[in-house]
Amino acid sequence: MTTRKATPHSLIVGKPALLVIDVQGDISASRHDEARNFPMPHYEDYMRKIPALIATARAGDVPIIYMQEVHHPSMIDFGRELDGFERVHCLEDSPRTAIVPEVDRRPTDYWVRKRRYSSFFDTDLDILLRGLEARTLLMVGGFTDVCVHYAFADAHQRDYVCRVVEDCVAGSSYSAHEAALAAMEYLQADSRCVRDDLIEALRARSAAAASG
Amino acid sequence: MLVVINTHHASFARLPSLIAAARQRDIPVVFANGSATETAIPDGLRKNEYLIRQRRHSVFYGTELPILLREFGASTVILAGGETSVGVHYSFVDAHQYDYFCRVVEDCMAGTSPLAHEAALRAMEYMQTGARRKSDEVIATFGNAPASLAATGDNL
Repeated sequence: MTTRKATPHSLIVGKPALLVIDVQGDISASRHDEARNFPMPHYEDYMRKIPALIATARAGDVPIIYMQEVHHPSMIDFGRELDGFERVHCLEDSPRTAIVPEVDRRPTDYWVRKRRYSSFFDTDLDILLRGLEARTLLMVGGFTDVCVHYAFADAHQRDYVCRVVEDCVAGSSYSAHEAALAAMEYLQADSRCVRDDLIEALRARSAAAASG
Repeated sequence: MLVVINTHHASFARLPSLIAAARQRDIPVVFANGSATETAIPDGLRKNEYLIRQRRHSVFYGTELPILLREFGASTVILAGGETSVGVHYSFVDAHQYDYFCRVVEDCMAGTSPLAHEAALRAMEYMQTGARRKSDEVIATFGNAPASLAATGDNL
């Protein structure tokens, strides 16, 4: 078999889009359940780092796409999602299903609802991304090991350059969070980044665009 | 339906028995691979069996697997092969999102590393409790399957 060595990519390749995945409910208080060890401790601290990144993206005219997981109150659309560790979640008539106000979703932003884990599964996200001519997807939100990981895998299979902002994602447990970050790094070797480096790269991109 | 992904690892000693047990009960088997040399199909393809070419990690992505599953009326997808943490894991996710009952035969697969193998098995068990199975149990269940259920393999 012919092997091709991975080419190091810059943090942002082509046009970026920021994917804010399932930042829903309430991030003002801890919802870590010690008995279930779910979700990971300090989950909200990771989510609270997201708004500053969104503000930077907005200032640089980077499209922001908010993903929202929803399920019909009749629970008809859960598929197999309740066969495992997860309980009933994201019912459309629950106030906890709303995208959190801290992430400042505006009418001019993009908003895609989904009924499965992956942002791509039976949604119009790919149509939107093609329209935006996005090449690099910057991913934040939760859970690292479920909706973020599987959005990443699907984006990877659709040939997007994927970046996961590891201090702006949190998992169903800390070990699952770490394992998912490692799995994403396996798919794209330079995919893990930290928020402040990304903010710097976005600012540099804006500055270059302004002077160019 | 039994889906066998990339069987080029020498470590899957139990895989031939698993495939033989499925064949004995007419449970459809689909082999998926990256290249022809990577798939070991004992005695070649039989009726009810397909070889599909996979160009992405998930065996669902850009392949005829969704059609085959519908045509056979399968409700349970049983995954074996490799790697646990890539082809198997992402195929499981798609099968799960398509509402299939998903089972992985954990002694018939290997990960890109032991750590990645175990993490992927945990992630799959997170999605569906009871997803992780051993080959002895699956083979025994195949053997006990009533003929009417054998075609769908939905009694695990």
